[in-house]
Amino acid sequence: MDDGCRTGEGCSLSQAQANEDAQKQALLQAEAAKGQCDEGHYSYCSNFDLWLKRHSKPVSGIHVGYSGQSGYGLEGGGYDQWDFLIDWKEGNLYVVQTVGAFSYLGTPTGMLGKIYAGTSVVHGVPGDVSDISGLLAGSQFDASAEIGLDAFAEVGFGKGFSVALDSEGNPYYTLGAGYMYTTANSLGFGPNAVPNAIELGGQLGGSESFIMWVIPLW
Amino acid sequence: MKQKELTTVGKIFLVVWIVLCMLIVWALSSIPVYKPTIINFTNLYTCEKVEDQWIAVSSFNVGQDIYLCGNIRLSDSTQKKEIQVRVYEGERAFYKHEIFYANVMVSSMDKAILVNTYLSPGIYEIQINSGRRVLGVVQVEVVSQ
Repeated sequence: MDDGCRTGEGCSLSQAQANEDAQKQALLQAEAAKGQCDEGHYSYCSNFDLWLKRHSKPVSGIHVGYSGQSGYGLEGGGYDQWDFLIDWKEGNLYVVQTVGAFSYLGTPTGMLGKIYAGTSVVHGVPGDVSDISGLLAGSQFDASAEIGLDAFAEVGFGKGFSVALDSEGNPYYTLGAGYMYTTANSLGFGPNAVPNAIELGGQLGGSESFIMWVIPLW
Repeated sequence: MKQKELTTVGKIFLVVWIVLCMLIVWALSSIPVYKPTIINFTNLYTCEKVEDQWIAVSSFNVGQDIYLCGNIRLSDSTQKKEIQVRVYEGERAFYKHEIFYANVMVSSMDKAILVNTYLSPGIYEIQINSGRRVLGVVQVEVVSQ
């Protein structure tokens, strides 16, 4: 039988034995890494383990709000929005008020007042944090785009994207859950001063969120 | 003709929106406004216990328990609050990811928090968060014995 030893003289350990030892060592290391990962040392975790432990939990809901802006093409404005978000894992409803300011670039509105409603989905909320009020409250960087029909009164569809920031102004990130951000779809309606037939624009801005109510649903 | 359709759609949307708002206000008016338990963790430093006393230490041996000391104050002292402990290799930066992360329950009675991890020799920064709020950051050195 070939023992795998090919070095001739001085070969004291067969290749087969060396392979077996290496395999055992690798298994021991993998076992140790798994133990370290279980204790929270995430540098030892495989991507799958990280996903299992800290994957983003589902948080979504609806929002209503109103906004106002003025200018001609390059405009400025503000908004007040109320989100009704459900933590589907814990069964809690979070009512969140968000106030923000934005710059707008697009077809001119002159002056626009708008009410809107839609859906919101929060991504990147770690699955092992039970009370997420501290994660939903705080400041955000906002970007959105809108397209609509405009004949003195505008009906528009908008898509929004907000990046959650920590208190130092950095994007909030958790290993395994990723960056925390919100995506939103909205339908808005309101009168404006400059009818363009088609309204098209984008917004960039910042906002601050406050938790108003936390209601256990189940 | 188009303008007439638009106005009708607008009116329907407006009515639905107003009804929705009224329903929400009616449903929420009976619920007390949420009062968050605010946590403050001031004067954060790394420490070890020597004869029932917490002593400030900035350098630890490999394998030695690392504790975080400071003044922990909750706005409601009867409550406990979940905070997050993150350890970064070297200095923190917005693009850097933590190598250790743990959720820890704390109360106003707590004097120290164990950073329950093994760190190899090097410089680390430990960050304490309550949700998105950074409560404090402390640097620690781990040396080989």
